[in-house]
Amino acid sequence: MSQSQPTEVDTETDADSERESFTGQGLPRVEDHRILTGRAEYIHDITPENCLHMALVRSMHAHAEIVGIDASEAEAHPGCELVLTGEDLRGEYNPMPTGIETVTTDDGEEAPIEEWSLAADTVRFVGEPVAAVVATNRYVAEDAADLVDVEYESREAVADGMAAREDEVVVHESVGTNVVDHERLEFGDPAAAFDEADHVVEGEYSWGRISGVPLETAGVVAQYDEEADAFDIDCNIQLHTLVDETIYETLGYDADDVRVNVPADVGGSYGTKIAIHRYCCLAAMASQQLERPVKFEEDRVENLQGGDMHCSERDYRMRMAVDDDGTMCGLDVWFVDDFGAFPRYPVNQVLKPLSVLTNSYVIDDVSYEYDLVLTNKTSQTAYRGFGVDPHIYALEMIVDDAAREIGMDPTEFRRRNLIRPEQMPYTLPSKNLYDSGDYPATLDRIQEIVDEERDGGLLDPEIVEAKREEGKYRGVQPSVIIEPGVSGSDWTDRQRSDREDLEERPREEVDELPEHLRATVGEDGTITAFLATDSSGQGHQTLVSQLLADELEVLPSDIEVDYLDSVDAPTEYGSAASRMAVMLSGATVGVAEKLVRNLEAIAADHWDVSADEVTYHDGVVERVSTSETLLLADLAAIDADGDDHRRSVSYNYDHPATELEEFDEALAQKLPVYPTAAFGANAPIVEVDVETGEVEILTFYTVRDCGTMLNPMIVDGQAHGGIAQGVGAALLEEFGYEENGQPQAITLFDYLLPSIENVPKIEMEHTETPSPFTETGAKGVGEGGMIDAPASIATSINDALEPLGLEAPADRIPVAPDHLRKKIRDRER
Amino acid sequence: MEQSREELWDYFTDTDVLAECAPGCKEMTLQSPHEIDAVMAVGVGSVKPEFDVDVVVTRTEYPERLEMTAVGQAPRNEFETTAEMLLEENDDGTTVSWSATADVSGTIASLGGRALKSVTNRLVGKFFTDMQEKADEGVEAESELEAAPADEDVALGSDEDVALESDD
Repeated sequence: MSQSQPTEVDTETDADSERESFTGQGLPRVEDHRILTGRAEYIHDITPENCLHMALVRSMHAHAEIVGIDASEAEAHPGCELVLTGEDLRGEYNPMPTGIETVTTDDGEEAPIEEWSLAADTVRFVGEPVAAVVATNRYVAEDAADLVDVEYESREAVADGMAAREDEVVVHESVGTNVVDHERLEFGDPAAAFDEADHVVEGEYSWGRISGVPLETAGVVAQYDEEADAFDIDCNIQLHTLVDETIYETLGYDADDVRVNVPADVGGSYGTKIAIHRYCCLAAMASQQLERPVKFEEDRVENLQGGDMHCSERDYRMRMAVDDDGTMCGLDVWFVDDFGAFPRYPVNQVLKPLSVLTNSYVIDDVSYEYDLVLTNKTSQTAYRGFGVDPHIYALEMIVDDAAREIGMDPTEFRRRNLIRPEQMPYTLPSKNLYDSGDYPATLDRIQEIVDEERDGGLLDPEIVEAKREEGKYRGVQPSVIIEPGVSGSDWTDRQRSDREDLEERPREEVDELPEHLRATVGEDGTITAFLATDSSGQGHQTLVSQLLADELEVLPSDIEVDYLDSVDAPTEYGSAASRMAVMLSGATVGVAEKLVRNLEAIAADHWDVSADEVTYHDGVVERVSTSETLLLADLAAIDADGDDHRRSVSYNYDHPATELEEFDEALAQKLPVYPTAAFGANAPIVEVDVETGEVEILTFYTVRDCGTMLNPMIVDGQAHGGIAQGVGAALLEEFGYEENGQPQAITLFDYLLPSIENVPKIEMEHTETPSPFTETGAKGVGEGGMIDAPASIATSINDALEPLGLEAPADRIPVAPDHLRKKIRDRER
Repeated sequence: MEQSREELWDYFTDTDVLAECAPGCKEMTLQSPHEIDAVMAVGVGSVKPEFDVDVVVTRTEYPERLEMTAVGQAPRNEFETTAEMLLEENDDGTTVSWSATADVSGTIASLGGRALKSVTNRLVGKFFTDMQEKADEGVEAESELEAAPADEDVALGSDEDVALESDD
């Protein structure tokens, strides 16, 4: 860490003499000024000259054959320039890459699952695009889209994951089954654990179709350059250097011919924009056909209905083996995940829970099994938490049920089974490691906070009793949380690998993607860093400014942070899976070291002395013997005159797990590798109105630890946002479907997002237990809140309704009023 | 209704009368004794698509039973419905009972989902009230409809997700 003493800072957190570094300070985000003053340029602000606009004709049927498409009326419409149909795409382009490429059929054949940017023969979900209409503006395009006459022959649809397993209606006929991926993993000896335990507790829990709904919808501007036979695609896709293959492969071009560029400002993604490639492909195809720029902006109904952006929808059957003394002996996890019509790229979210398989508990014998099924619904993509949120929810539910079964206080039951600090780093049965932390201390602290509320506070017995008279049931049940951070990349294609061979796979075959960062000193002496990842609100520019300022002993205001497009940047994972705090800090340290060495070399050559006769500090290189200095601007000017270009450097920071042999087994076997474990405990105090079934969260207490906090304000912001999304998931949000596959929530009138009315007061405490596995001690913190709040709200609802004697009142997410009312009514009967 | 089944039959099979009573009906054309083309604007919630409707009379049993199927198409919306009307004698005249199953797709199903049933019931109620008025006023009516020949293909989807019944 730098020893620099900045003397002047042009922000409100003026430097004081005590400060040793910018890192660790709540430096206001450099992004916020332009965002708050309306100067941020989003994809929707980009409209090149001569640009045409695209609208899509979408299926209104969940499952139907396309008998014919008559586009003549649309094509004749004034201002309409092009109508593309699925047939038009077949000769010239390719299907889009999918997460499960082929499925072995009953005949032993490998049947491919093909998804085209436009459906041609069959539509498989309401909202699936069947034609793209390009016109002078969006209004004309919409009008013309209405004139495209598509004749359908409707077929029976399947819109329920459990029902889809029966294969009575098959979504992809050529494949012959809806269960397109399945795995059962066993760790330890679960059969023996269940045989020998005093009790076996079983529970069924379900998690509704919930996802992120960014304020900014998907958008793309594609320009085909005929001379170069190449594309320039501006869009707000997430992971543009990783998933750009979904665009260039579909177009049938090489990676270098398709330049994907993401603006510095994206209005939220939360994972969902990983899968907007359909729009990028269609705009690019239209641009190529017309040799003009083509823009597409998704509207809200499109986003909610058919934007390929829904996330996990699971039915769980959990079993826990438990002894009378409160020891958790075994865990059996089984679930079905309804992926919708196509198994899109992030199929590995059924596996990510393995990284936190037993949450914060010691359970050695575990089985984990899932069916990944397809239905006639819009496809899944990633959402904050990436499939861990339902797992933690179902696990905390079975923990509650098990405590009840053995008659032990649920908090005490949890405490007895927590991983203890002396067991750190702790290897899970599923081979991932938790890096550091005192979990019992965290649970004790949250219990202390709750106990304070029992004494004259929200949970004072007299108040609780009086409220109960009014039909308002208060309660809280603390629960524990783990947020896995910094995903490796190698394991993510486990489902496309030969799983039987993985046990024998040599460690040398593991190929992790490093984090790439560049920095260059400008002629004015300022430094520009270039990220190879895109951002969608996380504050990466701030983070890199802080870190680089410390490393180079300059001010954050001397540093600009810019972005590389997919052609200039190497393929890397990018900003997902709570990675960037760790990966960017490692990369920043590395790039700064390299830059300092180069700057010293420039100066040494200039003075014609050896490198050890110069030293870098505070933005200058000093000649030790004479105390002469060269400023960064001087060094840049000297370098500009030469041929070496040493003032520009790039650095690849290797994934931290690759440096640690503790992870070798997980890495080699392609089991989820997440080398940081942020942890904590939650205690939302809830009040359930038994007359209406509504749940109000009176205060959301949380104690969290994400290792070293690089920027506490950003850490707080991540947790606040995540908890808000977790509240939405727990109580409000769901993409419901009719049995015939008609979606029920295609506007924000039906897909209920949490607002100021529902987001509770959040009382947050932090502890800081540095990660021994990372450069700065930071742990990933991008998905917390969404991962843990639903589980915590559910356990608190269970506690609140305990006096009614309902069986697992919160056995489904969202715990919407109708669900609770039904439970209460059924009991009254 | 006070009228006899025979009297009412003419009203329920006269396209001019039907056009005036059918809610949201903008046009109705008799293509053949068993085929009607219509344009109907149906508003549910915030959506009001204008459907091109093809009606096929599938069964007539004078004077007691009338069955028809209809397919309606509008931008981003589609419906298919099978409706049945029974005329039964009672002490004071005729009991008319009507039932239909419909498969509704598109924004009208998604956006109007909550209101679909109540709106439909209201529209059906209005239809029969208007029809009753016509019959009470003694407006001229002439039966124009007869069932399609049995071999004519009127295959329709079998989904019965929205089942609506209304007795009048």
